Amino acid sequence: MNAPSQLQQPQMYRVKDWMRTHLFNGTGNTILTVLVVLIAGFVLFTVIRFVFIDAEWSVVSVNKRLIFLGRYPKGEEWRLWPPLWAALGLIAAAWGTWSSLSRRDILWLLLAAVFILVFVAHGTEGLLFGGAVVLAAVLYAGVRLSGTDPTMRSRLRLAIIIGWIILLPGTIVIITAFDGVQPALWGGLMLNILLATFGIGFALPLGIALALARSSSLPVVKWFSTAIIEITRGGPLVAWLFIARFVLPAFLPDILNTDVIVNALIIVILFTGAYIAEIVRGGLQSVPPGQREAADALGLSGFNVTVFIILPQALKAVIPALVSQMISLWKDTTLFSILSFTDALGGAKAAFSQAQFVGRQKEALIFIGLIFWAGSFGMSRISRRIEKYLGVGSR
Amino acid sequence: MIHKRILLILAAMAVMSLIAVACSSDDEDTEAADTGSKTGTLQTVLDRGTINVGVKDSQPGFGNLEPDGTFSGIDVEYGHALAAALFNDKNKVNFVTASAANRFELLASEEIDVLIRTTTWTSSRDIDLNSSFTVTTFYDGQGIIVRADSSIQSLADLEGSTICVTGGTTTEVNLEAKLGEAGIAYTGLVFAGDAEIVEAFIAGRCDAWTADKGNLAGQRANFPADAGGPDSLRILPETLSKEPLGPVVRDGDTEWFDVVQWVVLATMAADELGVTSGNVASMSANPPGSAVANLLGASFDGGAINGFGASLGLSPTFMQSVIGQVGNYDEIYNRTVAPIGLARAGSLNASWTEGGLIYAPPIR
Amino acid sequence: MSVLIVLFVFYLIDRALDLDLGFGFLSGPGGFAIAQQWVTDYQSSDTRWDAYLVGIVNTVRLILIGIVFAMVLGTLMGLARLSSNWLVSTIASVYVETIRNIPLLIQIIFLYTAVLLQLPRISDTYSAFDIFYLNNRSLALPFFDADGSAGIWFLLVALSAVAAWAVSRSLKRREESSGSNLHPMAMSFAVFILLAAITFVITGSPLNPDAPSLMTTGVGVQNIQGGLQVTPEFAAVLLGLVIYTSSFIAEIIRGSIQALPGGQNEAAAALGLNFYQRMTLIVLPQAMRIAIPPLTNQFLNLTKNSSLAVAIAYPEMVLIGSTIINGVGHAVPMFILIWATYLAMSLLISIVMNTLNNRVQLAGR
Repeated sequence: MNAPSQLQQPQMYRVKDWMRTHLFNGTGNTILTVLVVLIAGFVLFTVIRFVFIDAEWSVVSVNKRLIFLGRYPKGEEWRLWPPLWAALGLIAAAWGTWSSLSRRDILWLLLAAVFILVFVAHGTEGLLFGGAVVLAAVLYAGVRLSGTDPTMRSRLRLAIIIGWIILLPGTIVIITAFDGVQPALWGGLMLNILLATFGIGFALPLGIALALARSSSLPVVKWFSTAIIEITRGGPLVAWLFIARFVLPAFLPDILNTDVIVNALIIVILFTGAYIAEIVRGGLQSVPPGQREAADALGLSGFNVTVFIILPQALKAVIPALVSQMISLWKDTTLFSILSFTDALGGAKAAFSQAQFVGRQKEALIFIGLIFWAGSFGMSRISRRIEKYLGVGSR
Repeated sequence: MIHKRILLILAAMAVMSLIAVACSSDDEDTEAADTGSKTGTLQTVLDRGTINVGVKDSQPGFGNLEPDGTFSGIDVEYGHALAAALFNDKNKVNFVTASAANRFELLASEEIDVLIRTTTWTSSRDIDLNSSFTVTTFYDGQGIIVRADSSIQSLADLEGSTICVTGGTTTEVNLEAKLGEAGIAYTGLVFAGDAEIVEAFIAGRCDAWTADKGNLAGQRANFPADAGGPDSLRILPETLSKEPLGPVVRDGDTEWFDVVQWVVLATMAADELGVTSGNVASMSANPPGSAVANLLGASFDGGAINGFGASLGLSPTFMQSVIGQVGNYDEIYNRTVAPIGLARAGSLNASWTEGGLIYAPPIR
Repeated sequence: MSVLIVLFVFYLIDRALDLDLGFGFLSGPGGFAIAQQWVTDYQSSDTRWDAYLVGIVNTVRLILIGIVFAMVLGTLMGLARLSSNWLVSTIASVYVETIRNIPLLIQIIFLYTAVLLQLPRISDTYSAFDIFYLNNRSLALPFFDADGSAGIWFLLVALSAVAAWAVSRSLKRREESSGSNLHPMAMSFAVFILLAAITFVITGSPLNPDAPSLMTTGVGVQNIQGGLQVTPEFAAVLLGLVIYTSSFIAEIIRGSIQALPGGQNEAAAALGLNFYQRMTLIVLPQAMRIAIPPLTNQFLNLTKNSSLAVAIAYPEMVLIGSTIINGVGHAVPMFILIWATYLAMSLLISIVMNTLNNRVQLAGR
């Protein structure tokens, strides 16, 4: 009987010590701790009470379709599954080759998957989603197990990169081709995801081009690029989206002038591109001039120096800033609801203005807030992982 | 080696994007661009294979977005009627949500072919906004709704109150003019749409809410039971204005104007002639008179077929599709507006034969 | 390349020339009423220029108050993240990670529809001493009502501030040479109060206390009159902007303080300075030097984000602009005007912050 209590005692002391140094060191801190415990306890109590007792989540479950797909036509959902499977599989494979999952990561991901299976995807959808999760898990495990060989690993990485590049246009083809769904009917969270992905996919090359143009020695190129960047950054995105809707059609050649979503997307790409250009320009300036001089001395052409020597270093240095730009684009896609597109926020607003769900704004907004939070938070975590992997800051 | 590989990837990326762009933009769109956007909405629409209609998404009975993502209401039915007339398929219509603030811009930028969004016909809109109003499908008037237990009984009682109104509407300007003239001081609270006003009104943010009476009746009928239901609201008897609502097209395209105008008028004519979706098949096979035969593009007593549809650039039997798939004015009205508590009989929207204003010129 | 760009610019100009670019429409009467005004006095018969001016004033009010509060809240949260108290620092980081990862638009709509509109109706208003009111139409506080000579007094107050600043400067100089503590802050504050009070009496008490009161009309319609009234629309946008921006400012402040050599704080502690003195005299002034450029960015973001007020019908520039467009068209010149106004505001903020930055950098060397 004595032995266990003797073993436990040091641990108790440790907890006590920890609390003494971290919570109760000094009178001021003790008062602060007690005060904060009271306030935080009250807030936590209110939140738990709301989530499990007061809230009626039916506003979300009934309007699931509106929030996730908007006005996307019924019977065409099958087009969305292959891209989702491919995306999840690619994420898993990429994670497997470049990094590994910690136990905490797996816990979070499992939690997310269970959340989706319990609250979002039921029946066939549940099976299809579950299948995607299983596929991702299998791919991850397979890559982890087989990827020890370096040549194998570099081939895998190339395959994954090509996969990512094909995924974006492939998704549009699957959704629109063969009498598919035109952009005007895209909606819900799907629209937010597509807008964010397309936005970043096209804005990144545009931003790099603008940044290179701004540091060009040709005055016309330089001034044009500077003008584009500064004009775009001068106005808020809301105003630019209004311009996409009302002014842009007058400027676009008829062939591009097909759909208001495409117009808005062009503006989003331009807007994000201008911000990315400034980030990349910072990166370009951080590359020591010796790099270019050394490469020139080796006889590389100007183009080769820029693309293979300067740009990789510049981009590596600004990865954190690029990811935070991606996060803000992801959050900014909600602005499309102001232009009466039925994105996730538009769907949520439509949901809580229905007669039977009056007063259920909290539930609907918290639900989509959580979705956007998960996206942003996940991205910022992955960004930290990449920073560590590339050793940013430890040059 | 690596360089070549990266260049290869970049090339692949470019090719894929090109393919994607080619696949995502309809081939029809390029053709439409060739015919020139200014030379005829009708041809553009026929080439595209669908009609783009700007509608409202938050007004039960007129234009409302349902939880399953479809639209309902009298304005929406006329969108279906146009699709039926153009393509013999009432579902070849693409509804675009138009807000009070952006509707005319949507029309001007050719994003929509016709605007059917409870839009009031006024001189300034008709003249200044480069739009043409076709036919009035619903005669409305501005009204004011208050809580049933409110002490406000007439306009004069609105002194000192807060009134909710949708921004960018004739209602907003008219409220200011009417109450301003009467010397009634009020606080106007401007919202972007009806959904936002319903929330604010339920919360008690405003004492009264002004909008077209047709809208108010619909909102009242749909007023949430949790907030008291329809009986907890009362519409004041006063009518502040005339609000004739109907489809709008761009100025300067008479061909398209005629199509929209006559599809609507023909549904009213069908109502007058007693042609319904139930009897349209037998009426076309065996028209009771030349008026019905002219309307439906059928032969009366073996005579020649009237070229009504053909001269509009449509199929001669287009009204058979419209009536068969959507119905006549009375059927449309009873399916959409009547359920929100606005009876047709005795209102301005009754047929002229019954003392109303719904009147179709003769088809001959 | 250059040829292509020149051609492209010509194409843009060619297309733009087809559009209507005049600003004449802004001289016509607005026709619509604007309920939420402050300082301005626009009537529906005034011109559209006047209406747009109301939008500018409403935006500026949002930005100025927003920046001040966001800065205060952000600094507090940044310091809290560095607190040695584990509970405080954890809660601060949960706050930051939650707020900055949720779209601002969702937060604003949540604050408006789920929080502020759910306050009691005016008939059940909270009130304290019959001069404070809180309901879902307004937060009403006692304020001042200015009469005719208030303008002169404000001018004199500004002059008093200049005088107080001069006093503080000369006292500081003398403090540096003599070494004794002359309390320059307290002295200059006293000078300011004294001068303001004297001029207040001389100009004939131009400000009268103005307490809000709950009025009921003959038929029972209730409203609150007088005082300083904050509408829920304004409050929702302001709170949203402040909370959202503060989460970014907190990270900037934390990063800047962590970037300081730890010895600074320790040395100050060894000299016997207390926590408040260490922060205000040693740590924050130095951290500010690092923090000003990223803070400028956040202020610019806040400025642009204020346009999200359109979502809940607070009449700022974009909302009034689109109301005008809906009435009379002319989208292109209207948006050029809106864009130019934002650009001017951004430039002004950049100039002020750059000046501040230069001063701080010099003062440190």
